[in-house]
Amino acid sequence: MGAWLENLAEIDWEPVMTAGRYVAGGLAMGLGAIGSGVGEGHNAGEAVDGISRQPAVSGDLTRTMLVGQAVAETSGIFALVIAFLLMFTEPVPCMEALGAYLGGGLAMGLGAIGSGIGTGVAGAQAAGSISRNPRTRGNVTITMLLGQALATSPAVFALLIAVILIFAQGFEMYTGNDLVLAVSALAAGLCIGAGAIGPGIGSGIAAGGACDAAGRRPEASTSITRTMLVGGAVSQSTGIYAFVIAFILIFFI
Amino acid sequence: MEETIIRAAALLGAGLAMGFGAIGPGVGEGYAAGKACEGVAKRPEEAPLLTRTMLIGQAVSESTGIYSLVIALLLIFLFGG
Amino acid sequence: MDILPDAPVVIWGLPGEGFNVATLYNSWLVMVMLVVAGVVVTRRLQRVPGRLQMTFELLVEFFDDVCTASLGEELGKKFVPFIVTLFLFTLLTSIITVVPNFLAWAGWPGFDSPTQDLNTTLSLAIIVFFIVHISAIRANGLRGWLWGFYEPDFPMQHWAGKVVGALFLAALIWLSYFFAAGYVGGFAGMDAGTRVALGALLGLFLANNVLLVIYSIQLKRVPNVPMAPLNVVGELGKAISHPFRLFGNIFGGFVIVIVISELILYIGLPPFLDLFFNLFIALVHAFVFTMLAIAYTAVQVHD
Repeated sequence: MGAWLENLAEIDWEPVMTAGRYVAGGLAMGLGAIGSGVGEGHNAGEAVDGISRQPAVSGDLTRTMLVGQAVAETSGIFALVIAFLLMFTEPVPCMEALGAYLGGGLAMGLGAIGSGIGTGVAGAQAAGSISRNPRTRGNVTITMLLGQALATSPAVFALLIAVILIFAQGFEMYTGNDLVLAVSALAAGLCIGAGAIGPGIGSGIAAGGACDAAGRRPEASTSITRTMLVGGAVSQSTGIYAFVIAFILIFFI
Repeated sequence: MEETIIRAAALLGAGLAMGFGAIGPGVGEGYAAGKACEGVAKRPEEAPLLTRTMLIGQAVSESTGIYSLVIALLLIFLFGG
Repeated sequence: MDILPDAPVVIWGLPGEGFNVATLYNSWLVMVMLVVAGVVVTRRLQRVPGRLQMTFELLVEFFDDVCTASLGEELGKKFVPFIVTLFLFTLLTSIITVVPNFLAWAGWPGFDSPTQDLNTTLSLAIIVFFIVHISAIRANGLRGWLWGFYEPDFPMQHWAGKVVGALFLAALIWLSYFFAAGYVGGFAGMDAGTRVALGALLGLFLANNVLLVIYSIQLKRVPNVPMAPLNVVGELGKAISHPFRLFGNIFGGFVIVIVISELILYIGLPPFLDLFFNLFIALVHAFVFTMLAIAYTAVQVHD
């Protein structure tokens, strides 16, 4: 049973590591494109719906849609950056580095899903809100941007963990062939990756509700924005627990 | 040898527990926050009450996330350390 | 590719492991700036405010409104100075990183945000944690504060409540003995120290239950004992998520700007990236940090 575990050091990790890096890069970009794609599409759909109701404000709606989509693209761009890093940095080939790279790819790939969908939902609600009440465009756009800035933060956590896993060999971590360390790096990536999905979507829903509300009652928009920021931040608590567990898995094992 | 595999499995389990356990509470709490914003739009003068109720509701819906945190910490420090 | 910050990344920064010099210098710089600003702005207050006085008055008034609305008139007024200081400190320490290091010739370690060091956010969150719970004790009394951990509880005014409460308590006592036996049996393979610690904890839990039974008969409320450990972990969870939220976002923004700038060879985009992540996102999260401090206090005080 345990024979292969003892012979880990004798395996030639060079080709395995190269293959692993490419798989990790593919995972990062492939999974990471889901969220931004769905989110931006939802945003565009709501904007088109709004224009069909209020053709007169199509210029305003298109501008708001483009701003919202630009922010919703952020998490996709994070995934692109991590995919590049995974493909073009060359670590010392070993089992732990393989675990760390696969973990980094999964972290960013899964972690970009939630924020992409969430920022898209916020943008979509903002577009709907502006089409109902075009005069509130300024208030709604500010609320949308603040909400999207908040909804991006799970993706930022995922990116941080992915970058730490990729550059960990710079801190003289993940240079050996210990199964436990390799698995803990992979687990850290999975943890923050999956853990960022829910908070991203949730804070996006909060931001969307706030955009809708700011369109209905623009004079209360300060109070609405405050509620959104507090509520959205609290809905990210579980994502932050995942971040903490990933930190523990990386630095305290 | 078996001990190595058990430790590795415990750590992987911790990551999975916290990662997937974080999805539900995140979405649920966000939903509560969105509804609270709509509530503030309907009755801006009740904003502090709405925010407080939202926070209490979120604390309750976060409890499953806290179970995940506890399980993940137990797995790491009891079986994975 | 060199993405490591110049200062050593020391988690916790225990004595003997060294200090993060940039954090230390920049925190003191921000503190000096705040003290100087406080003196300069309040030295010549005028009935018709000038531009500087107006800015600060708007800031203080905004937080005054928030505090009094969520904490009540009396406690809110007491909180305003702390909250405004907390906001200004987190804001300035977060956005200071956009300043280029023009003092490098004088040996300045660089304007890295102190909040991208976990130690800074952690100490701020510890301050907030103690302030939240001390104000809760002062507002509700020790008994009220403790009772908050046993909620949601069962009222015993109605006969149905009495029956449910009595059944619940009986089930609870039985369950706790059951679990105690299970724990001790299940962890029989552990070393003596761990067993003693677990045993002491379970003993405390059981004694607590018995005391609560006596106490709740007087109070006519049945405490929800199984919720107590979860409520405690929930409070600790708040104290964990509060500092990591600010730290993760500021450090993440810092890393993103450097990594993307390296990848595109510093052409075109970096200033905008810097402004978006280190100014806009940092502003949002400094504000969120402060608002959460108020919200946590409001929830605890209004139990």
